[in-house]
Amino acid sequence: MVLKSLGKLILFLFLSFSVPIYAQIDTTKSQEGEEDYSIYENVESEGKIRVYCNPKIFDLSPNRFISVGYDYIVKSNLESTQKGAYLNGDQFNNPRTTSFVNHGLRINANLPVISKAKILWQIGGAYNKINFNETQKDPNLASHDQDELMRSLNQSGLTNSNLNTTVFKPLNEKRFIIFQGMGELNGNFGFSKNSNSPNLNTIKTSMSALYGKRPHDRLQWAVGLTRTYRGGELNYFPVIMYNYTSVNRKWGTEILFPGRASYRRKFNSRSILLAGYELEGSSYRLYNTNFINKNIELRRSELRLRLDYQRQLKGFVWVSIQAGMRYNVNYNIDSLGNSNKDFFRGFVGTQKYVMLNNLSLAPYFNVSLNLVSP
Amino acid sequence: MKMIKLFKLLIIAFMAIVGFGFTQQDTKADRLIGIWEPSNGKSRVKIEKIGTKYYGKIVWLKEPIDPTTKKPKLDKNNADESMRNLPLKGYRILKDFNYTENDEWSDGTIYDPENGTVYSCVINMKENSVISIRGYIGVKALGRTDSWKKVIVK
Repeated sequence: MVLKSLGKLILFLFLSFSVPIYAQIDTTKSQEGEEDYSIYENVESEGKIRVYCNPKIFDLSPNRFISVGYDYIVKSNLESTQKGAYLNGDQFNNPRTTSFVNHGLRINANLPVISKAKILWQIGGAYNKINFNETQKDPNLASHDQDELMRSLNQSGLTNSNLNTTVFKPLNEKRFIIFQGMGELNGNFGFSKNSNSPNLNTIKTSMSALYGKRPHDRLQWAVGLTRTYRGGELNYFPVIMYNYTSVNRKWGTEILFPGRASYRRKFNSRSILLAGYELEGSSYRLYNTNFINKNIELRRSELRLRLDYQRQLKGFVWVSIQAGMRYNVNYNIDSLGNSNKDFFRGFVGTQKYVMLNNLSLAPYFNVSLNLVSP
Repeated sequence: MKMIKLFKLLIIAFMAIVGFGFTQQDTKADRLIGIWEPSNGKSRVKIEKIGTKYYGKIVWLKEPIDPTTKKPKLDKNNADESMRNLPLKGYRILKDFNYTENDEWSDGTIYDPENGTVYSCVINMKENSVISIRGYIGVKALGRTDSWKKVIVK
């Protein structure tokens, strides 16, 4: 009798603890209609919390944690002068033209170190390769100084590698500051045995600082200053950020002038089309190049006019397909002389290039897979 | 007979201790229950306990009307087309949280109606009136944290 009662007690207690675990929960259906939501309109705070503005606005193209892509520039013609001393705009006497195809892997990563409402700090890195496949050389000139340039480029291609950091600091509900810094190691080096080795003394630094406002969830603007190599050589520009999304949330703009500007068309939350441009460039050290001058830098800059279709593949993986035209801005060659220190030419400097180059307009394609951020 | 009484006493004592442990654990875990407001102040989420897990649904929106349709906002970005006609108000965006320890609720997910994406999520309570809520992809390092404050219905 006692054992029976004890058994009942244990069974009762067991069931008491077990029932909630096996309760069926409908976690997907809306609960609309089950309660009066108007009671939640008037509330009072239990704690104090500062409100900070979000680093994003509605419907911006997704930020990328990790991106792996491939870039392909269809045949372009490189016209070069002989070695000498030239100002930008000088005539090309006795030029040589060579045709080639550029292609290469592009890997970028941006990972959050701190990602909170009151501060966002990311660090990132990139490895971008430009390989050269020479397709045709002007047969009328037996020898030309461009041969030496092409030998350097064909051997190892161009490598851009960088480490960067971005800090977004909201000051309050509407105002924010952004700081970006980057150290780049660029040149005709590689990682194979026969490749040139990069020299850490050639690291170039870029930085930007912006102050801005986010009046509402569909607008964010900022102004600031940047020290950049996007034009191929060191320069300083004012920067304007203007990210906007229309009221119907079908279109918007993503502008960081002069670096890039795009019109955004949203088809749905999983696919967008960007139409615009990006100014892309860096200065590359040319190692093991038999130019008379020492410490040779290839100033590469190009304007990419493009359509960029981005679509969610699954979960957090998106694909980006770009197609457009590559317009050459700068491909000239400088010598830093024995000092090995880079200099600022700006738009009015009189420092002379040792070789002028001109790349023809060429179509390009880029495909990338991207792990996007929340 | 004495043995039986002693046995009963032991059982009661054991259950009392276990029960006290559960109650204390539940009390700590149940601090998550209530109305919470994200740092942008645009919504309020009611967290409740269903079974042994914690769930949160939207109960208030600062801008409840869709400016395009002029009707209450729907979950129009949901990946599941059959869900796109459901109103956002009442929608469960927090699901399946278990209280672990050290003021942490984990194993849950958070749904972002802005892009229709579900993220892994962990909730930490800094103080009784503030929680930090982190949505992430795969590993906690790839995520973003927001602070939510507790509010009380007047």
